[in-house]
Amino acid sequence: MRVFLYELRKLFNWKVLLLILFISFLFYKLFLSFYFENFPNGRPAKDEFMITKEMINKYGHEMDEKEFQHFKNWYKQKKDEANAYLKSQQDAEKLGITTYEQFRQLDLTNKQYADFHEKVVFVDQADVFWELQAFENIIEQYESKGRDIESYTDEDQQERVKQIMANNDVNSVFPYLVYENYNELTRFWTVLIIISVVMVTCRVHITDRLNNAISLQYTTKTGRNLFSLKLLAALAATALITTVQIVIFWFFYLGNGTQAFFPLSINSFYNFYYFWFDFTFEGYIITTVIAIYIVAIVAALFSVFFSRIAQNYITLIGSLVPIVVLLSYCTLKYLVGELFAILHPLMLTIGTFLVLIAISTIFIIYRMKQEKLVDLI
Amino acid sequence: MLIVDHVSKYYGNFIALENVHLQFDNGIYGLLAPNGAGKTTLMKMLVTLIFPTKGEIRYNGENIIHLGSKYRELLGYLPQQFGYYKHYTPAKYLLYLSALKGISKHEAKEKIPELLKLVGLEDVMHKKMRKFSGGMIQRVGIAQALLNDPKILILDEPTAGLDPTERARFRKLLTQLANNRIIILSTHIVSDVESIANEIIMIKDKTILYKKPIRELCQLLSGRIYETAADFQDAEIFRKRFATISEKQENGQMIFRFVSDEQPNENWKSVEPTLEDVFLHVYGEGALA
Repeated sequence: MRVFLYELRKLFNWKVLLLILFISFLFYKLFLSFYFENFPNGRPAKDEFMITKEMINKYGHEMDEKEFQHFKNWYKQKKDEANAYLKSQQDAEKLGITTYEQFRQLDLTNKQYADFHEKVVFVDQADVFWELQAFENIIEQYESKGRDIESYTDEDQQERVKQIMANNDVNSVFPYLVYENYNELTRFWTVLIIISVVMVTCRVHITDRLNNAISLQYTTKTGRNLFSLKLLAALAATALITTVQIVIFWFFYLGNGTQAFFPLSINSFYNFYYFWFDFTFEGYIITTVIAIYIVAIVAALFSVFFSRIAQNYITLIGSLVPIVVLLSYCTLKYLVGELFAILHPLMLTIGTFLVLIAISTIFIIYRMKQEKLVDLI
Repeated sequence: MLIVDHVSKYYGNFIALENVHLQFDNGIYGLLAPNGAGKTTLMKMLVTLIFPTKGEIRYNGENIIHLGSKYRELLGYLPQQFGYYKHYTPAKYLLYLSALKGISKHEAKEKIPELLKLVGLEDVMHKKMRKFSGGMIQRVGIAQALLNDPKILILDEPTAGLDPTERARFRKLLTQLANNRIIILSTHIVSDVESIANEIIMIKDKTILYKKPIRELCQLLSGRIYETAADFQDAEIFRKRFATISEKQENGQMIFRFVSDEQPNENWKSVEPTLEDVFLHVYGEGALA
């Protein structure tokens, strides 16, 4: 246990931690802050977010046909509000605009109409006109649910869409913008986790090699078992880094106020994609967290392996950069980002996980066996 | 008892050691050979860093590879290149190594100051090793080798970097420790082992040439070592005629020490051979006949 703790402590060198802090700061500024500071991003996204929250209060997690009729009435009331607003505007009267329908179909190439539209929507920011756009988007999506089945060319994908259509989950009022926001944040945050994990764990053997400490370590009672202890230390460091990063992520993410959507199915008529499994948003979050841990552990296993065989930092970096790039690419594309979305074949996602786990584990088992036999010249 | 039983080590076609057979009881053994002769290979096999291609090494009748950690628990080792972390203090590094050696934290905390005092580093035990001299680092290495009170102490070039006082102190320390343990000391510096080793092991052509007490080794050249003075202008002729093993300048003359099977001149008397004579003769001119 003492050796394990020493090895763990050796990994957390303050210079490396400072570097991770700096990289995290850069990552936050370049890729992440936007999704925290601008959520929901502008209008009508903000209105869609508020309306879907209100829909949960009114209809619960799903909106059935009867509730949809109610929603349409709600939309009508909003249109009446818009009409009343227009009637109260002298400019509108001069231009002959008395109803929302007229306002909606304005010829914006006409300067007078364009100026009036600009004034109402952007200068006065009359909420109702933004809200109406959000209502229209929701109605359009609800009425066209399942119609995109033909955009999927694969039979399994089409079958899955049919399955989703057949159950009530598709009526979930979960909005795409919550998913998009979570998806963008987690996939970039995972790349940051991969980089942090590799930076910490890649030092596990190379520092001993460069300090000529291996021959001394391997002739002690612990001997060649040190490889296993170092592996455990690297995995513990990985768990620690990943957990800390996830906790920090959640500290920021809770500020986005999406908690109301946690129990909702993400296979919703109002989401970008359908998914291979019947996830609620909280279920999906747990799944992505598991995926993040798997990706982080795979990164750590490769890092430990190459740290043991690399002769110096240049060869180590040369070996690990392609692995980090590959893992990051898969993470951004489908391992964490868009995880289990049906636009990626299910077997691609599961297969990639299995291949990555298998290769990294084989590398480590191979090295473990080698450690028992290899001459330390 | 530690037995190296007809051990060979090959790397592909390259022979690193061939058919080495040795037996060690408690005492000090000086492994004497020039660089590249195979002493480090033998040392590394004794500490299980490399495995024999042929033969086996046994401790009290059991193969050391099979003994594994039970064997390494008895081992103290100072490698040729002692590895350390520059940002660690000697106390912290020894505490780390004591964990690797399976020594309890309590025991290690008692022992470390004692050992650092023994090697004269008690004043700097909490200073980072970054600014330590080579000699100080080597002394940390010696201290760590003694951490677990080893039954087998294997030291590869232990005096490298030590000044004459430190060397003398180190030799004294080894003599004190030799009572109840096997100490194998590899060096190419004859004076390191001359006064303390019970036996000298000489490796040549990848195998053991001699394993004898110093006196017996010196007897191999008994009556064959001559020392005489010659003028500078005659030095070259002298070198060509005799197998000189050493030469030095003294009072404006050259003093030659050389090996000869016959008395070259009736006025020249043979002198007592030293271990250095044997070493220089063996490695300078070929094996003794």
